[in-house]
Amino acid sequence: MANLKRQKTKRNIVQALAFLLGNANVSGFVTGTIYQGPLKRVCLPGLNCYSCPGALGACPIGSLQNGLADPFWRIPFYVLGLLSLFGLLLGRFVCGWLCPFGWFQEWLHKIKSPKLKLARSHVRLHQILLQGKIAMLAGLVILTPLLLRWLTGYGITAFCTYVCPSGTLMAGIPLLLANEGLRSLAGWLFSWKMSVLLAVMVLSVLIYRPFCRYLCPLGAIYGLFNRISLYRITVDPQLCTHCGRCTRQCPMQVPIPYDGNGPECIRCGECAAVCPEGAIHIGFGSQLKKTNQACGLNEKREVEQ
Amino acid sequence: MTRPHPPIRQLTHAETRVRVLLGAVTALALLVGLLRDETRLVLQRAIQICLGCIGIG
Repeated sequence: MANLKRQKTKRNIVQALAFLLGNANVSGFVTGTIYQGPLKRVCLPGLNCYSCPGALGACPIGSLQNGLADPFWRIPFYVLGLLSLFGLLLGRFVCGWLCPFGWFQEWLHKIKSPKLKLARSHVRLHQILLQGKIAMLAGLVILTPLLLRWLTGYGITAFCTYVCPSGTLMAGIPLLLANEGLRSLAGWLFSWKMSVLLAVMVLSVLIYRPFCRYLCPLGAIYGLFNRISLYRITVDPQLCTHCGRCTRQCPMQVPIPYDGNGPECIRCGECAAVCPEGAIHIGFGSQLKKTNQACGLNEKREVEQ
Repeated sequence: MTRPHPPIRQLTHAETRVRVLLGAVTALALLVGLLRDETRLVLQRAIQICLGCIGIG
């Protein structure tokens, strides 16, 4: 239990630091303006709206859509390269440790209330809903900007405009509060986006990270990299007693020994913290390699899940 | 959820090859993007308030 508490505290500190470092332009919240310096050439790894008054970097999903929507940009190689770099290095570690909107949902889930747990009868529905984020990525982030660009000459950032609750929370609300000019322009779209945000907030109290699980296109991209990312889970078969404690502890309900590096694991590390045998290692490379070499075992017995 | 013998496996050769290939493609994409000065395009969009993002459209 002490291990688990330490792990949760460590993650909370990293999440707070990631939020503060990515949104350090504090004066923007007062003046109702956004940072316009050169740091915005770089995309932040998490879903951090670049119209947030504090944001020092660009949002990768917003930049990707802009690249696809712009007829002169054509293929956004730089943004795709950055997304791939984050994915290859970290996978969904970004979701678990660096994304401000994921952190926000976790805080909401701490509110005392009955929680919706995944029942056996709901597994099929859950599996279908998990594909929602792929649909969001393919439909709103990629196809809509491309199709509209093809049909009308210029696409739109459909996901940011009609769905992204992170944009409403981090950019819409603070900017409209501080900037009277913008406040006077708010209409039906703002009401719609507030409704989406409120729905996600209510669901976050009941379900652990519902947006990350079912809707986030960035989570879908990083999920594709989870199986091959350098930062990964390793389970030692010689130590694992199949007690199932890791799977019961996992907040994303991932069966760790079987699918630890599947697309849903956000690398929170709670499985490793509760493992009584110390059989789970999370990090870069494999701890087992060193252990096996020290024990004189064949390196081929190294197991990566 | 817990099965008695987990199907533990190594990172397959195919997965390792995909990792290397993606690494190369990533490096190439970043290089092309930087040479095309796409960071300027990212900056151009990111320094303007995205009206859609904040719900004004």
